[in-house]
Amino acid sequence: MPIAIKSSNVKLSYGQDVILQDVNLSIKKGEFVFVTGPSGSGKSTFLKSLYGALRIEEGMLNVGGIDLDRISKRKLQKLRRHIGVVFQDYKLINEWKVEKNIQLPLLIAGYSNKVLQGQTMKLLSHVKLSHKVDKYPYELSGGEQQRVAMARALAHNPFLILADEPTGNLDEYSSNVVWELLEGANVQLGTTIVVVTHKIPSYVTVPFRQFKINEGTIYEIY
Amino acid sequence: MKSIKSHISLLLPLLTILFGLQFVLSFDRIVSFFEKRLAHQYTMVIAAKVELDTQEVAKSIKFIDKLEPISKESIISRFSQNLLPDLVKNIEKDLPFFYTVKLEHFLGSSELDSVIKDLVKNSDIVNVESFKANHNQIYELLKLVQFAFELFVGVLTLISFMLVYKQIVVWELEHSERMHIMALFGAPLMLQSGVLFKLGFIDAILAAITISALFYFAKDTQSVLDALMILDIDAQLLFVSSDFFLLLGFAFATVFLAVSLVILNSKE
Repeated sequence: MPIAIKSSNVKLSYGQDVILQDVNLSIKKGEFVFVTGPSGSGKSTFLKSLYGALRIEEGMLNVGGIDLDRISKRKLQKLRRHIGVVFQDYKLINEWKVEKNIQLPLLIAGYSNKVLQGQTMKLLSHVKLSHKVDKYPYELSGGEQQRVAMARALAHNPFLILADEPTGNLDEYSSNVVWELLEGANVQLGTTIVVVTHKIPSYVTVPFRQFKINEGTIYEIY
Repeated sequence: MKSIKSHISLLLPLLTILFGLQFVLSFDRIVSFFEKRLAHQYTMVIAAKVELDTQEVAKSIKFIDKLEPISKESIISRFSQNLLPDLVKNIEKDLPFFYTVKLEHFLGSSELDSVIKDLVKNSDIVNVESFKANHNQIYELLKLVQFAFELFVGVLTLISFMLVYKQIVVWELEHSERMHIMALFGAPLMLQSGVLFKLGFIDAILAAITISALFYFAKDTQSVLDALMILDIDAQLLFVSSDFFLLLGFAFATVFLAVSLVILNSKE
């Protein structure tokens, strides 16, 4: 199976502070992966490096066949158009209605209005929020906002979804919906999922791999 | 309220820039109107030993519009009353042929020199009186006023542009979260900054309309008409309809430049 993410001897740091080093891992396309570790261990930092928000200091990091260590701004933009990202704090655009928030990746990709409308309605029904299409994010509960963020991450059928503590702030119902969506994308669409969390939920039903961050490096738990 | 305030912060410097630009446009038209009038009033006088083919001379020398002969009778009649008729006849016979030279437009110093040089080259012409000192004094004064005015507007534009830039930096900070989210999904820079362009272009349109309206109505205002009449300037020179498109284009360009500079200087 082709490789979705490959890193060798990656070193990540903020200025003089080294956060992670000697990161060696390989994730195949279609795998479901958890990266766990205590708070402040560098989980989010690792995720940032995967979508190019943090440049690697040393080593080689390849995502979707593209080397991130020497990537240009334009190429990084192109890569991000094939990645879905989900955050603990949702990162929705408050001035835009739910509908437009979901359409963001499609707008960037330049899809027609017809595609935008069709895809939005399909996704809204998928995340059980069809009745909230005309609402602004601040009019929704935290759980509903995260479901909108999930719909947005799935809108453009990305090959990879990166989720940073996606259910950290959610009630049980919304958490279940989010996990169902992530598992559904993985099983039905073959999307590679990388979830960063401090604890793996007990109700995950798909087979997954687990990596743990400890003492500044990442290793796999079998 | 906050939004109106932030729009005014961009609108004011934009209005200042366009006000200065419109003044330059109006002033240039007035100067050019004055130049035409001065060119019409200004004449050189040449003396030739033989009668000249006026059309041929006018055609062969750049910037000359036409040559008009000055009749010998009109010159002699000024002092012939106390002279004997024979003497008058002799003077008339020896008197050279005089011509006034009309120019196409008001010339600069070097252009005037080249006209004089070309005239002197003609062996039939014995003297050229250009009244150059008088000409240069008026011309230099006009150019000095124009330069000082344009320098003033230039400095004003520079300061105002810095204020436009600062306001767009403020907008960028206000909308940084939205731009950051768009960047996460791979939006190109122009799309991320769409909101800045949109806000800026709205203010550019408002500023162009405001200044155009101001000058459009000013040219029909009695007090302005009176002031211009003293200087014998046509009030219509203050604003012509094509000015609106120039102002709009300049305002768009200013906003585009400022937003582009802000984007280029920003970090993800």
